[in-house]
Amino acid sequence: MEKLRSEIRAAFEREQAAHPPITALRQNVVATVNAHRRPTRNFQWVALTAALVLGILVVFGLMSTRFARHATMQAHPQSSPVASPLADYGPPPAGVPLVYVQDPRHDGWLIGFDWAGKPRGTVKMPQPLDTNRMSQAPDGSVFGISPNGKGGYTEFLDVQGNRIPMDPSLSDWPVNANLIWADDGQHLCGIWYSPRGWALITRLATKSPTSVPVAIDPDGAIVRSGVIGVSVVACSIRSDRAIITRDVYGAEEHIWLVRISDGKILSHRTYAANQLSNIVASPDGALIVEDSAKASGQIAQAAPSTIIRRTSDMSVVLTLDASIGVIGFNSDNTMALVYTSPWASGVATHMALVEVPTGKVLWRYDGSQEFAGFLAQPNGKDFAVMLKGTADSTMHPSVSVVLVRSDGSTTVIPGSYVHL
Amino acid sequence: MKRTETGELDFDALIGPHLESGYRTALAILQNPDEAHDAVQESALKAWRKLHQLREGSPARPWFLAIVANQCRSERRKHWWSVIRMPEVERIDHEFRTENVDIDRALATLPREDRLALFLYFYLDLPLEEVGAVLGVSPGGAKTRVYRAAKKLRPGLEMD
Repeated sequence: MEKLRSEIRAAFEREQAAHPPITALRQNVVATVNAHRRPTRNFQWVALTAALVLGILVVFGLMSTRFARHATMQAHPQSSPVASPLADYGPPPAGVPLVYVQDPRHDGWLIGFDWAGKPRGTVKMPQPLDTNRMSQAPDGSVFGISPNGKGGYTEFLDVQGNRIPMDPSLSDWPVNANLIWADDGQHLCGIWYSPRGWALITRLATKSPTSVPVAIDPDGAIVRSGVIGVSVVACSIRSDRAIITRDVYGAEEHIWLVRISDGKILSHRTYAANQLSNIVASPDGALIVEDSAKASGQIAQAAPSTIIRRTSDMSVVLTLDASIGVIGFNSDNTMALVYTSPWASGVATHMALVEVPTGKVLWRYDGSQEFAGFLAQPNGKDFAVMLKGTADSTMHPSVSVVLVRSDGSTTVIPGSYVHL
Repeated sequence: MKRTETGELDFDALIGPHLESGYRTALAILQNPDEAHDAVQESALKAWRKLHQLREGSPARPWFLAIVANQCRSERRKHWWSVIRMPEVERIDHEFRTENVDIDRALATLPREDRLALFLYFYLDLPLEEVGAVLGVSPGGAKTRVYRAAKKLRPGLEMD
């Protein structure tokens, strides 16, 4: 015990020696305390007046803080779209990744902004075009149209607004398969069930897919449950990995790491029901996130933390407070966009940018707008975050676009636009 | 208990000698000198406001250090996120297995309440009565806390 005592003492001494107290600690603290004389009963009215003044100052201070935040984050806080500063930026440049939003003044016009926030092109979609759910490829090189809003793309358009001819065999494939863009920005991936079993499908946008069986439900329990909720959340053509999840409220949740080329299940992880609110993956499938159900505001018992794991060995990369939910990662997985208050419709979303290796918070958003979507910069580090008014519940809300840099700086793109 | 000429308790005489211990305790908990200085400053103000609660004859040191510890706990709770870095090092159960442990690293990875117990007892050399007063437990409870914390550093440890 004595040896341990001296070791512990020496360790604390080394720690303390590195950060000694300031030389005049006692004088400074005592002087500060003396400046805060404890009120006596005879001067209660002074305390009351001071409290009132302080209260007013605090209220004004809080209001000014909010005004300041709005000034930086809400260049156009109004809920209805305003005219874009320019109308037609011409054909988008080839090979430049762009972030697209709809021009509120012209139906079917999409404006593409580069990652410096400059408008670089206008795409004029053919009309009439049912764009209930249109999404851009990660780099903006092609647009997928999903009329039924269930993720199955029935047609694609190029940046000239021309329909891309589809492989005829695609008509045999289910349009409802929930497809996501792969990390190469070219392929789409999805999971589909047929009487022959589950299959992971991968295809170039308009080409006939390849399909491999995946044994995620060998005894058929998931299918028999009636609520399937199975989807691909990450698809990496580059690393030949896909992440499939079963994410259903009230049921056991699953994560499968699958090799795309042959459908082999490389790892499988399960979670008790109602512990997680969401399972998120990085686009390359290298990281997964177990968002605690606490992050969605669940009061009942839930996972005690939100955890980011490496899929290679399921080791923990970062543990976050259970109230935090990860929204997504940037392209090199060094940054995570997180929400710090439950993400709910009609409520302002508080967000932050967190450096994954260190957990350092680089940017926070505590404004009054609601998160409406994001894009990660292809082959870069930044995010484009869409914010909308909390009262705007339309399918294509009016949004402002904020480019959030990996150093925590932001660029607000002037104007309000319509979300794709 | 020392009082000023006006009859008020003399803050400098009562708490002044313990401000450095307060800072060092805050540093041991928060492990950040700036936060530790802020914590001891805030604790001093709270102590000043509550000075009348300090009973005649009661030792001021554990009373003040308890305020500091509570202030540090509040500061920790204010952090809306917590981070546990997972460096590419061997796992903790391996690290603590041999006598050749890196004591600095082992202490740094201990839970804060365990660190506090060890700090008060081994570094500040407080008697168990005062350790208990700071931790809010009885002297017997303080002894158990110190022992359990030390046992995390040396699993085979037997209490003297």
